[in-house]
Amino acid sequence: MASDKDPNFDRLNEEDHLLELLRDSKTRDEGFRQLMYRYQEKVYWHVRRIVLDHDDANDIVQDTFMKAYKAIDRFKGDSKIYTWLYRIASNEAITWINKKKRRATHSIDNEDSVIAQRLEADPYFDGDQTQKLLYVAIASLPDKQQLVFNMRYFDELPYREISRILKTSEGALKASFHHAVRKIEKFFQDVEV
Amino acid sequence: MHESHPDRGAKLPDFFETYRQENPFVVPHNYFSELPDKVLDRIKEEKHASLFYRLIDINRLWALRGILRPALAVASVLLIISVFLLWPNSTDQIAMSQLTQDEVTDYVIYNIDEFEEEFFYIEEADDLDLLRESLEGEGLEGLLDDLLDDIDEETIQNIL
Repeated sequence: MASDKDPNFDRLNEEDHLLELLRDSKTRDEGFRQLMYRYQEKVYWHVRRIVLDHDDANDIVQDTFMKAYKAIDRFKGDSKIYTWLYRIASNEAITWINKKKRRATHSIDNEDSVIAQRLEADPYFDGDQTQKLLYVAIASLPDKQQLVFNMRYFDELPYREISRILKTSEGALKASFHHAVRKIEKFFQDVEV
Repeated sequence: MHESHPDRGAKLPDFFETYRQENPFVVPHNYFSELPDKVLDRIKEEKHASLFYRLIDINRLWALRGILRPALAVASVLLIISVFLLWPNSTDQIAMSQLTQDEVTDYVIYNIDEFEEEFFYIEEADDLDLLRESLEGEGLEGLLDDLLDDIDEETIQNIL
């Protein structure tokens, strides 16, 4: 059978089935529930690593899925569902970060220490000092580098997939990731000094 | 240069490899099992809200069209009547000075109900004083001459 030969067959078949459910108004809610169970954790952790705070991540993830539900009729199926969801979630998270930066009362120079203090006070952060610094370093990256680094480093997405999500060439993504790694290394060197 | 590029086979520094799989973040208990219901509840709330407004905006008005149509017609008629009743009042005042005595008399006759009884007593008293003054001295002679001029011979013969 095809499913025995091709490990992606079942997944693709499942995605087609999910799309069928989502496109029929009678089965849409059930399809959406299945979609959420399948992708909510990936989307949540992607958002959480950008905004760091659970409550903020929760709001953004809910908004992401609300937008996806409303736009399901416009989803043409020319990309995978999770590519589409990642794109919505990334846009929502970056928009949220930029709004927060505009509203911030502290100066940009204090941004790192503010993020470190927030992580320390966060009951839903259980990392050690190095992990805390790693997330502070990632948060200090420009938006695009931050997204590329997280998708590549944590989510381990191939560049081809990140390219579809962010609509950027693979070459540019590789350069972004390279710069991000160098900046994080330098951040730690400066901290040690 | 290419060897050091992270995507071209070069391993990330050990530091990155150590922390790649460790997730220091946690979520509240049952968060992921409850999240789909929360989102679907929000979707339902929005659907109800939009449905409510749609009902108010379109269906409700369409359902009430049987009542609304005559109500609108009555309202339109009342508006037109109001304009006719209120608008001429102000223009009447402006035009009064330009009316002839006959036009004023006609207006009073046709709208007699609108005038207070006392108004006529005052007007009557004023007219009597005016008449009395007119009939004294030369006024009386002039009035008689005018009356005689207006009466032709045939009328006098009929009276006699």
